[in-house]
Amino acid sequence: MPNLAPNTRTAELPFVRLMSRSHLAIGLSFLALYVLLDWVSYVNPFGAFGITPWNPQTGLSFALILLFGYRFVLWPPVALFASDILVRDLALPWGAELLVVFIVGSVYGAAALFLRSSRVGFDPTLSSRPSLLLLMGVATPAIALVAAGHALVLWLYGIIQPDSLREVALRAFVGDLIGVMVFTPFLLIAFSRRRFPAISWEVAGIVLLTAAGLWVVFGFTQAFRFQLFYVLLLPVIWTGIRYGLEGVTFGLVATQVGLIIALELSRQSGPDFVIYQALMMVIAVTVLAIGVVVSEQRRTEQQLRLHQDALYRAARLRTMGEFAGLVAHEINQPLTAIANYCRLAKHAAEQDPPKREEAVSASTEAIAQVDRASAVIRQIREYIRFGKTERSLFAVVPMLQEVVAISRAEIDRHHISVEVSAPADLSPVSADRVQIEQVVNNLVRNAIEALVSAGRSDGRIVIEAKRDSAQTISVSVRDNGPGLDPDLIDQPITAFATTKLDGLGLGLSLSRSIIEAHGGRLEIGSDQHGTTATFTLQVAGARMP
Amino acid sequence: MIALIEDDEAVSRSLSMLLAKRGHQVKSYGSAEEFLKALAGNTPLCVVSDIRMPGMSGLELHQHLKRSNPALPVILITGHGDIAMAVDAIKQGAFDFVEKPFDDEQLMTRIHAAIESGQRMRVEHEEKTNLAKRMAELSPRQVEVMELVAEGLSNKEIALKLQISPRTVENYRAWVMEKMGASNLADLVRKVMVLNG
Repeated sequence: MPNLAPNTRTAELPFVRLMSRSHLAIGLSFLALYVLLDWVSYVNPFGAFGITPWNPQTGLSFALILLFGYRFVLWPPVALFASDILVRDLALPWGAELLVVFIVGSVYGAAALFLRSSRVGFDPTLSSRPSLLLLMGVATPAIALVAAGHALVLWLYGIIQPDSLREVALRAFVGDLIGVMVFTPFLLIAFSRRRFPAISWEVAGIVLLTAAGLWVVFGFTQAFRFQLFYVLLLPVIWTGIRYGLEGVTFGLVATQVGLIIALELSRQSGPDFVIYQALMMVIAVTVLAIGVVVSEQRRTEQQLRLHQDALYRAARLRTMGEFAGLVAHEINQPLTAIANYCRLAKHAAEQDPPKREEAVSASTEAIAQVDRASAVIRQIREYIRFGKTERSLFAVVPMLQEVVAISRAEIDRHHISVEVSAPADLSPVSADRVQIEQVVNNLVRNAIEALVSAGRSDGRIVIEAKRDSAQTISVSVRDNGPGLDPDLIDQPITAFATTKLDGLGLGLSLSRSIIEAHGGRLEIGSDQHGTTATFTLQVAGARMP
Repeated sequence: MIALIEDDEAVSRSLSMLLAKRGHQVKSYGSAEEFLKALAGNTPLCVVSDIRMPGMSGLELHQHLKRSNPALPVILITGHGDIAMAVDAIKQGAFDFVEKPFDDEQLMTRIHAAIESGQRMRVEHEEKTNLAKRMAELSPRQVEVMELVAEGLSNKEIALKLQISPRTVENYRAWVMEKMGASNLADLVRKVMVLNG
């Protein structure tokens, strides 16, 4: 049985495993990125001591410990201190600065380590709803604690008045929370998964819609800014539904950055800035939830497909096994007789003097048995050729898509892209649908195996159906694999000729028999750019051969 | 004589010629039924039979022979895919199986081993039949005495156990020794073991 267990956590953290080899490199990269983010996001500070309305660097600190563990717990406070010197020219008195660094370092460190402890069961790839809830549930009180502590320290040192205590705490809270909500999931996903949505027209459309949303909110009119703010939800929800959690984290970062730029350009006042960030927080939580649900559903679907795929293959193998047993028996009979006659001939020839007549007669018998064996093979092919075919009318494209769906799990696992293309007005064909499915499935599996065995990371299969002539439609399955051995292409397609180690080589031979039984042809072409298998089918209404 | 049962004419003919070359007397049959019809009074030393045959299969033939001719060794020939079946047959007591297409040296070795084992089994079987015939002439009491003697009990112990006089036991014992054709106590113990085994 193939292994049905989806490979989740072990295989999904390649970056992390690769990077955890060098503590210092990660730490210094973190430090540099932290200071850079702090510098970039140092907008609209409150007073001279720099509480800014959004803090992506806090999200970075969380991600660092969640991904790499307790050994990095000292880096965030060090980075905070370094950043305060470099970006803020050490605006606070030494005592206040050290107290803030201590509060931030200990509370955030404790929160992240709590999440990482095995008892909690937090999954840093955010694969399930509980993990997202845990992140929010643990980060929010920790951030509230730090915000309150931060404000208290400023008040103790007489930097702020008691009446602005609440406002300072709120700013610190919103700024850090938005940083964690938007940046931590993005970083966790970026470092634990390899694939983000590819650039496509749809992605371009979403980016355009986000820009349009920002323009509607900030460039269109001054009057309804807050009321119109939720327009920004639309593109991120679209992203979530189409691309799952990976897409959402990406979209949120883009929206947040766009929002900050828009806020700066339209010169918003400090308090309004905080309100926008609070609204953005609501958006972030909403679409993260959507993204997790969509991703979870996708995973379930994929597992189901994997299961179906395995069942289908098991059934196919069983019939193949029975068939192979039958063939072996039919071939073994003449083979046994051939071996016996050859021994008799050898024995007769070895006599002194040689018994010529005996040797000749035994050899003649052996040759007759060889003819018999090849007749058996011919019969098997005839049997398939004239076997019961049940023709029906069906459209080619849905059939092709169904066959691709059967192998979808395997295609995804090997990161192969599959494209089915056909003109919209393609006529239906008249054929035995089950048999044609077998042929297409066989060709697709051959293509997958060729790509996998070549170890290609940019594997691509194109299945193209088109009108070939007035009477026929051609279907071709093309891969960008290494191509076939030139010796093998020139040979006619025969049973038992195979390049695969575990195959009987019957697949292509049977496929050709099926297509020929339908009055079509199956041809294989190959060069260094890949292999193309093309077969033809009769369109509905065409006279059958 | 070796009986070869094989429905495929080419296999049957070539194999019997090969066996004949090795100095065996071979008689070939096209089906299990044909062989069973000719079996009475003409027992071969060894049976070589195909498994897949129309009508009675090789396995069914083996089941049949196990009852009617337990001392007759059966070698089954199998095509690919029947191996599980053949292994089952070995567990049921078939002598051996060979897979088609077979190596003739290997087949010869196995046939020789089968014939030897068949002869040994036949001797044991004959002795057992002979002894059973002799035992049938003993009375139930005498059989009881014989079994207890074979267990190693003394005359006195047997008398006590069966509630008869030691003298009677002695008489029975002499009678048993004579009827069973045992030359001494050890011989009698061996014969009882053959009977029970």
